[in-house]
Amino acid sequence: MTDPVRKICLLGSFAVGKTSLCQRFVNNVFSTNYQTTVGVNIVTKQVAVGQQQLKLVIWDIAGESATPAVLKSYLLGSQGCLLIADGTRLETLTEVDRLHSYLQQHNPDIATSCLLNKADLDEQWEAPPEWLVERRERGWMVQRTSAMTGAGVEQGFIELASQLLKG
Amino acid sequence: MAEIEQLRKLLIEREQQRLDELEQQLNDREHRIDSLGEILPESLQRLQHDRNLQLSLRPPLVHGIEETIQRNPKRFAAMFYPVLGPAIRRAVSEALKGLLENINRTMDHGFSLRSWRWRIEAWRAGVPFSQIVLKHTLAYSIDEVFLVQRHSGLLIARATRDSAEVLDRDAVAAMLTAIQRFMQESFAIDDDHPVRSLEVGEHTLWNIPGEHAVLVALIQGTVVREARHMLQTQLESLHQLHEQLLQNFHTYQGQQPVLDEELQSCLLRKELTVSSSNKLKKHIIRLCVLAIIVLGICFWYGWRWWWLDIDRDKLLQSLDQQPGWVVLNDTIDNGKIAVHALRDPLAVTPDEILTQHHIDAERVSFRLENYQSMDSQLAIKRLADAVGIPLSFLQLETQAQTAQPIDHGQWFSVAKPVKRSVWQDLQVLDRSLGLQLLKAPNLDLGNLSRILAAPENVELQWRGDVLVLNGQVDARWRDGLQARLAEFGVDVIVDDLSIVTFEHYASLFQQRWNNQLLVFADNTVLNADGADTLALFTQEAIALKSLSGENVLPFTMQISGLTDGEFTTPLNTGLRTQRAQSIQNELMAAGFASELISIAEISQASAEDNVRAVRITLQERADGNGSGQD
Repeated sequence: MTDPVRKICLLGSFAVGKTSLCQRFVNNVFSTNYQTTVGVNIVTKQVAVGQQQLKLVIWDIAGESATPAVLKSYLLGSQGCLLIADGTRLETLTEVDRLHSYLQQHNPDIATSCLLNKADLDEQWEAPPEWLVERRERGWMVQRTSAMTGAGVEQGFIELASQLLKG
Repeated sequence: MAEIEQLRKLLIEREQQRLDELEQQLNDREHRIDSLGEILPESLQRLQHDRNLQLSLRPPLVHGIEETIQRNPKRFAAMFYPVLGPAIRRAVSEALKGLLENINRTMDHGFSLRSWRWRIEAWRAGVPFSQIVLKHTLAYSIDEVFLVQRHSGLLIARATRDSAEVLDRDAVAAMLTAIQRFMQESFAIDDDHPVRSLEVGEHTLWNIPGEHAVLVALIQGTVVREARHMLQTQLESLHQLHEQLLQNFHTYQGQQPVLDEELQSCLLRKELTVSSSNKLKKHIIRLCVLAIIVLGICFWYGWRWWWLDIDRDKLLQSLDQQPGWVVLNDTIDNGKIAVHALRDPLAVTPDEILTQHHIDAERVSFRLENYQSMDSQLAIKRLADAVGIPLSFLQLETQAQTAQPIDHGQWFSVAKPVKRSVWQDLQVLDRSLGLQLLKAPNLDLGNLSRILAAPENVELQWRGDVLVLNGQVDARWRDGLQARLAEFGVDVIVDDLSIVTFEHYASLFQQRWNNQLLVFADNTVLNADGADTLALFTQEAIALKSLSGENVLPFTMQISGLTDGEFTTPLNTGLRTQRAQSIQNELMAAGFASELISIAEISQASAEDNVRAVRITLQERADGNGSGQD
């Protein structure tokens, strides 16, 4: 008998920090050297949600790949999605909205969670507080994160993992 | 008080009795042991998975076992023997089987050209030879199998031939799925036509799709189609048995069943094997080739040895017959005839012998040491070399009977400068070898003439056993006759009474021709008689000169011109001179030197010479035999 395994996908515009969040969560490292993801990057992480062990297979999908056809393909079998936005770029919030709508429409069973990344860049922060409040009111799980400092990263992933276990 | 006691007795008497009994049981050690023994097995059985119980029991058990083994190891050995014996035998058997397999494989590939190629490849790659053999002899080997949920890419199960763990098998399985998706999206391929295989280095990845899961096989070598069919069947079987699991793996709650064991049967493997009949054929062919090679080598060496032996026999037979050769030892070594022998420097050379018998000089080596042979032929040869005469002039008597006639005259002429020593040496040889030499040459007149160095005008003839000499010779030659004959060992009686010597002939010549008159017909022309007389004089003078041995005329000639009385004195004087000069010229023309011919002074003519002539007066030369030529 083995622990359950779940596939989750990281979606969002390019350069919002999907891979950085992934590396921070899996390896607890951060690199300022930006390297764009080509296609998909896959890592795994064993997490404990309460007493339950869970293995996450994380598909870090390139921001440029977020076309409907590719999304459909990559999302097959996925149980959860982390929608990543860059708090310093408003357009990434819009992309998160679009992705959420897409998931609601085509994959309504997928658990989602939203991470507003780059929380360490307070001076450049553009995400309006009302956007956050409004999404939470709709029942979204929204978490401010910083891949650089690690703030909120673990919580964001674990929150999604707990949703997965609740099934 | 009593009432109370009575009441208590009524109320709790049974309980009190029970308590007493229990107290008694507790205090009864034997009872306690029995009671604990009754429940302990069941208790241990119930708590066999209890971690605390295991930890509690481990130290005393281990300690007790250790102490028991130390105290009585034989007992434990006896106890474990039934267990360890078969285990050890099995381990040894497996090890031997592996060893035998290695040996068989090595034997199969040990001596072929291909194996050496593989050895070089192993040496270059820095890997064991067996690994290279396996690589080349392996038809295919499915080294690893992933059972991946088709849509999610989650790894359901994995089986591997190699115990080495991949870094992250879930990531690998997901990435395999992602790659397939990526390719499908990139090339617009639908799900019904998935990627069937990928080439990765020396490995091939097979992707066998099922309804809910795909089987990904990592293959080494060239796999056959049947293997794909078998994997497909296995996948279908897994679908039948675990359809729910495969379908809902991505949402499966709680602990999931492990299918790794069931995937083990997918690890197919096939080695390139040679059928026993083919093996037998190969072995037979190998043996035949080997036998042919061995036979060829044997035949080659046998043939060479046979020829060498024949050559050796010929050579030794020849050397045995050769004077001046003594073979000490002979061997055949490294394809060569080695001869150790004594050789007289005058004996035939090795090259001459080899050439004579058509033996390749490259196949014979000589180690020669010089010695002096007493063989008669070589002794004579040595003698001939020493005295400087051709060997053919010296013949043994025994050989002379069959030998070609010897030209002794030629030999005498050659041996002349050393003739005395020749005969002395021959006599020594005669004595030392006990041989009888053919010493007496054929004494025909020609040879004798050469022995005696006889002048041309000497005639030799036999009269019985007497050699008669006839002719005109120098007295010194006649005086040396006996000595020359003695030098050549010729023992004959010589009659030289008919020999005329030069001195005698000169005396006769002088007596005959001194004061000879040559009469003239007119002033300067001889008459016929005078001319005949002058011709005869000239002829005899030349003969005398040739007899001298030194071509010297022993006289001077003085010519005196004469006249009759018809002319006056001055006229006669001139005429006399003219006549004398004319005769002088005639003689000089005949080859006589001018200094030997003088013209007499007019005053020297006597008055009574009243005749038209000249007079030749011969006078002995002052120097005896004359130093100049005439």
